[in-house]
Amino acid sequence: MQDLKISIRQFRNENKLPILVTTIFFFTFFYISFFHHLTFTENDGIFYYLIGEQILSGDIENIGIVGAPIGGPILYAAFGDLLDDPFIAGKIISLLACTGIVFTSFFITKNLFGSKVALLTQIFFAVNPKIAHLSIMVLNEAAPLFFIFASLYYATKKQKTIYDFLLVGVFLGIAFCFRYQAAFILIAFLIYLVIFERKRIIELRNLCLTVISFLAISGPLLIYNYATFGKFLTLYPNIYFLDLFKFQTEIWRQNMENILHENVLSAFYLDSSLFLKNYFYNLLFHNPDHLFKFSIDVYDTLSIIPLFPILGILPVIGGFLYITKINFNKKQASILLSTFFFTFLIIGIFGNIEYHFMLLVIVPLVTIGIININRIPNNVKFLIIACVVFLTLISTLPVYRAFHLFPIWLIFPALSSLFFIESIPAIQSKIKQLINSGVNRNEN
Amino acid sequence: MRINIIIISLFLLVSVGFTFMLTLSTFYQSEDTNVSKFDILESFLSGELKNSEEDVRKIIEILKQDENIGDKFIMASSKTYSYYTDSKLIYAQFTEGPESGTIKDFITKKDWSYYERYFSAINSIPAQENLDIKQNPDYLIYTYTTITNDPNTTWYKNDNESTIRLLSTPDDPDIPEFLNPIFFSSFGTGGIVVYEVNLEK
Repeated sequence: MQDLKISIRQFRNENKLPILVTTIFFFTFFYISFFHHLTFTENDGIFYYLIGEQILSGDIENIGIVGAPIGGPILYAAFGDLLDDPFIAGKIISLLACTGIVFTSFFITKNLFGSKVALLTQIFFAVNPKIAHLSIMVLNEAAPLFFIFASLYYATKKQKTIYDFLLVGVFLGIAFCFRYQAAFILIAFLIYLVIFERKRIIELRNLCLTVISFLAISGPLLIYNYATFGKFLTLYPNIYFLDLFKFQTEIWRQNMENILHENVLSAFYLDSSLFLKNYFYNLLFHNPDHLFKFSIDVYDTLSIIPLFPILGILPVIGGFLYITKINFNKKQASILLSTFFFTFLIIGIFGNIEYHFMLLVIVPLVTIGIININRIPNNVKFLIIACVVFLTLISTLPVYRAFHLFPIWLIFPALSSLFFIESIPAIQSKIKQLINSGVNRNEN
Repeated sequence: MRINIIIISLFLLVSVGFTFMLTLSTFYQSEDTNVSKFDILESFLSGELKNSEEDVRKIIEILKQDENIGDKFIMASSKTYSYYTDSKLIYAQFTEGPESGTIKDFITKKDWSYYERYFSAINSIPAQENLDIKQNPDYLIYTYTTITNDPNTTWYKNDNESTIRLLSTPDDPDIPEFLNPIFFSSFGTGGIVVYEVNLEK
């Protein structure tokens, strides 16, 4: 007991600033949530609560839950009934989860870079309009996001123990019971383990630990789904395709209505070229658009500069180039230029520059990243892989809210913070050196 | 002062301001708000803000005056009214049905596609398994906005020409007799109208 008290005191003394940021965040949004948001107007919150009530009462015949598992509804209904006020219950869940996200964002980033970078990243989280939105609205987003962030903390640890591998699976398993997207982070972590931590997984022990703990937590949900609905996932992607795909034809819509409850492959085979056209539009335009906003609605963005969102991409690129420790010599410059022009050519032949221009940024950066892969810290590699895997898989759909991309967002403010804290002073001192050497040359 | 401190401070200041504005516009609105959400700042400074939930609470009070509201059907895009009044909800996005259809066609879900009926059924309160069940609303709550959809966001249906838009003007002589407006509130970027529905008329 005495040891625990000492540990808590030590933790508090070592992390005064992140605790302060988290506390300010909590009380600010507690005030907004409980003094300004007085009517339950969120359709999602009411929907999931009512679904949960139906499930708890055993009436599962009419449940029409098309995009999420039953974990969220059950939590909202159980906690709502406990407090006798589902609205208050939902607000408490959102606020606590987002406070947890702000808190863990510091420690995840601290695993990657230094404390200063971590603190700035945490502040970017605390002042982000979308985190603010999630903390005051009753939606089924904040709780799974918190569990994903908890898993990221353990996944990004430099020295991982058996417990860390288990906890990654446990937290992702819990998140999976709220939102199936958590599985994308699991896939990314497994890919990362196979590629970059091969030495430790000769006997696949760590990978198995994560998978087993994930299945142990999500298993009951999968069994319930199968026993109740006859399938492991209560997911009807074709409904989302019909509702959200940008490129559609009337004939395609009519045919899609006949396969609403079938799987992704049915939509693919219905018109594969239309499906791929939508997929690449989602992957290269629509979904990154929610990160840095290229189109007209400037409000729904995760950019750290929400007023001029597109500018938010610059510190991210700056931070990325900084961790790759790139030297702009002739070789690197020619690689950048040649990949740029090659990509431009490919887009010109096969694509559409209006929708696929992001490739012109991504391909040269990926090439630079691959060439300098050994210079990138391993845990940063994991977050980059998570970003690629998540976007690749989620892009079968156009995400319709920017906050759906929060599971992979941390790397963007973290790289931006790195750019501001370490890269800018480095650039500054180089410029000073150049000026001084120029002055000295003139004096001589 | 170090340049990075200045840049970071600027970025954070902009973010805090933006978050404040966005949060403010989530719960409050200006009577004169035009297209820009930044107009709300002016109203905030002059102290002329209206809580966005005020109309919702007024409508809930009106609906609660109906002693039999628990047995009645409300057609709306928001679940809030049914949640607070324990009434039944016929969910509608007000983009369903053919554009040329009449308001009565819309209310009775005539010529709605299978997907439109399915989406309405799973979002209704209570959720329906039988898509062909006949349910006529006793109240219709129409929320409209004058802000155009972002065409880059998704494939969407341009409903500006739809006859349903007529519902936004309760004093229009073309509003059918079976609709009796009982509440109307408008603000710069949209409004909300509540109709009592009596299809027997």
